Amino acid sequence: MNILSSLLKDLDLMSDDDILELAMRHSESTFYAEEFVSNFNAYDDVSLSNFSTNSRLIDLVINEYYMVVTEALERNNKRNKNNIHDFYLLGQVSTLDVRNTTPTSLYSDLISSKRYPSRMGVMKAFHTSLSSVQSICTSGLDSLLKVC
Amino acid sequence: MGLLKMLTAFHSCKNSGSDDFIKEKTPFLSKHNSNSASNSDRKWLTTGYYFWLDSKRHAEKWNYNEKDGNVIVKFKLNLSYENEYDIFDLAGNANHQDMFTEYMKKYKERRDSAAQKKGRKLSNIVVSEIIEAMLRNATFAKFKSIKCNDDRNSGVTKIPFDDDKLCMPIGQAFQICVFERNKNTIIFEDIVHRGV
Repeated sequence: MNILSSLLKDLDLMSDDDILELAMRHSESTFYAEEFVSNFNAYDDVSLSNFSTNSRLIDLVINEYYMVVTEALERNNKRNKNNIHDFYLLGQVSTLDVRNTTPTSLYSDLISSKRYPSRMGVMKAFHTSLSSVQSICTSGLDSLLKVC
Repeated sequence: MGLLKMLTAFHSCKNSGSDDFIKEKTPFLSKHNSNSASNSDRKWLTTGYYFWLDSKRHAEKWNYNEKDGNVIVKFKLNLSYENEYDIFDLAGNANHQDMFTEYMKKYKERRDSAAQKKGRKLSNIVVSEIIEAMLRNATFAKFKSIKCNDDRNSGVTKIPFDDDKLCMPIGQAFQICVFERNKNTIIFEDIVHRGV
């Protein structure tokens, strides 16, 4: 029996509960999470120091973060026009899903921008970037630093 | 197998500890804990020893920080493309890619059906979930490692073949995960970089 046949035979034997359990243990792609966390302190464009200590209100922080990230993107794109990767990295630290609560006006211009190679990539990254900001606010800087 | 025929691989880590410590402790095992709420506890290709293949170029950015830089260690991997179960090669073996794609398609059907029956909403499927499911099969579990690449643009140059706009990408990053039980295939060679 070849490997694929054997794999599919075992797949048939898996129960729905087994598959759901496996699926629930995984969330969205974490491909860049480790790299982002390990580089967090070294990242020269965006770091915790970019956030003022007074920016405790979530809307203010989101706006501030949005501006900082956009500026970072502009700088990165001057150096390397295809560098969506850096921006994608920024958005991958959070596990909170707050997509339904994010104000769409904040990222509409990013989505419509033709400068970046992948609109979906930008949208996804920005969604998770916002999640990161909410995570910072809800769990506190101490928790975030602990994660880093 | 002679050293010359083995794969060359690079592993990076934080710059701390003596050279002897690094020599003794590397490569570090990356543990995949898919139950964890922390992203850093989930690995692309499940639990194993992770390396960049052939060139240290991609290892240079990994575990790097501005103050201390990082450490890059060179290893030889006693694995061969000629042995059936040494490398599940998702980057260079079309048969392996086809197998993965076909399995993923069936797995996704089962997953969607299970979710519908139980009224559950699931997040997007990821590579590690599929591999974890495949590793439950005894035949597949004979593989000692998995090789893959990703679709990052950074560092990749696209060179046109002709004027038909099809390009050849150069500079891609190839990563290999050697499963924990196959640590004996990993041979330390040298610390090739230390610092900023």
